[in-house]
Amino acid sequence: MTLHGRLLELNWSRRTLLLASGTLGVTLSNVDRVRAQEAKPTVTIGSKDFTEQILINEMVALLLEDAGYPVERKLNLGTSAIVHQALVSGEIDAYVEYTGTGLTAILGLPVESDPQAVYDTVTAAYEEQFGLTWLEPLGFNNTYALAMRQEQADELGIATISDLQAQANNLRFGGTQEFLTRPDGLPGLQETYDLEFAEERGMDPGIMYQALDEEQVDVISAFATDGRIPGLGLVTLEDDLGFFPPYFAAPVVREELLSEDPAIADVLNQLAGAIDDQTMANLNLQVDEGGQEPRDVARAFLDELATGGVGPATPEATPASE
Amino acid sequence: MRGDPLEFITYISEHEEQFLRLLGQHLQVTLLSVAIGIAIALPLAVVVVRVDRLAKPMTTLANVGQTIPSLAILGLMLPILGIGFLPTLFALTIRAILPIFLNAYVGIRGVDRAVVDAARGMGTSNSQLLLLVELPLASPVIFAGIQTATVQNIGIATLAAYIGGGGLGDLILQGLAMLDTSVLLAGAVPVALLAMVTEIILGRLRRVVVPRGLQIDIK
Repeated sequence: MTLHGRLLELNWSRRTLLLASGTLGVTLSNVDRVRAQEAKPTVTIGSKDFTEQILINEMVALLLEDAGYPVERKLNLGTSAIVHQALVSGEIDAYVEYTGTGLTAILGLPVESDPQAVYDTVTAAYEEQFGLTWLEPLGFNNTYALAMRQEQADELGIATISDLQAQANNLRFGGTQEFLTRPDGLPGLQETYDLEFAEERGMDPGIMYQALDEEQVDVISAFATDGRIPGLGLVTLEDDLGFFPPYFAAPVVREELLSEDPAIADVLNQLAGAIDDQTMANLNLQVDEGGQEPRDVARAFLDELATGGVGPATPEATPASE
Repeated sequence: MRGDPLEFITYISEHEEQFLRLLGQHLQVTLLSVAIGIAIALPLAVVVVRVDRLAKPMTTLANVGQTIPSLAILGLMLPILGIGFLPTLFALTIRAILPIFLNAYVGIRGVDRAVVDAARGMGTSNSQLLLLVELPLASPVIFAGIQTATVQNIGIATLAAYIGGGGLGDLILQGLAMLDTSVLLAGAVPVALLAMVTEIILGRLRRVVVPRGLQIDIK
């Protein structure tokens, strides 16, 4: 703080000095530049409590840091409702949310299947109800999916969720506690497909995959972009009745912050359309199975993105700090 | 965020079947863990009192063991015991053993040497000394250990919700997941009540078990 004050003071005295000597134009622009850099607001980034969330919100944090913003990380906060609440109350300034989650779990609106319609609905409703802005989608759709062990699914001849109906009463279901209560989770699914499992157990998202792999449960609530699905030889069941809404990921930012510094939107929109389903699954796998740190994976991806080495990235997507 | 605080009562009555199932799971794993805990910790304490060179390492182990977070025990046991009931029971049993063992050890050690010598002088055998003199005299402290273990485990059993073990923790985590106060309280309030009721019941039981001359109020 004192250092800041001194710097400003220093600039001020230099300015008056130079003013006297008559080189007004140069000095003012110099002062402005210093001021602008100092005035960059600290941005607090949150995330939910699973790999993909930590990973993409780490990307958001790194991008902002590259652009010269001081960033505070409050990652791994908990479920959607908790992180959303943190955003609404201003504890955090931004995190990446999924359109379908915003639609059903946060806004409590009925499920819709058209991705654009869902995006438009959440964008308008978030702005009106919470003063929050949805930026451009990153590209991937991390939909909920039911997953089974490939062998068992083949053995029982189950390929779609409808196929489950006749056999569900012999199968054990494991899901996150969030999935067990969300309207776009188990309650809605059971109603749409008329499912009754032998057992329904709630657990931590990380433990769920292990439980399925070790045959402690037979069906889990997986994420479509989870690298462990191919990694553990799992298969996802087709949502043949179209129950799950689309879950395209996009940064949600407090409007107040954006009006204070509109450039933040441009920084984060560098990620727009940059990550497809396959890319996201690969990145997740590097953390979940490869044992790499989310920050390292995020850094490597951003560097590749900057050099135009990955996916549908735009060539001009270089860190704004340069 | 959502829900009037007292709505949790409505939630419980609307989900009676689910609630009773979770309550049953909660009680089952807690009581069983304390029972196994007693079966392991009491004999262990008796042996450690008799074999003096075990005393230091065992009490140190028990004290250190108390500091391991329950969630860590659950996580460490996953590869071996899987998910659900077994790892929960294991973690809770470990948690029960520690206070019961420490209290029993301290209680038996604390029996007045003069009383023990007098009993010896009257020609009691080892087992008579234990059953007729030491255990009854140590019973208030031993019982306090059991009480601590039970009440503590009622709280810890909520962690089962992280590993598919069910119990009232399911409602707490689901309420937390959706920031739905009524669901959260439908789990949390019964857990708190359960702990209080258990405290009272065990307090009554202590009056029956502990010899009248040794009745003191242990809070």
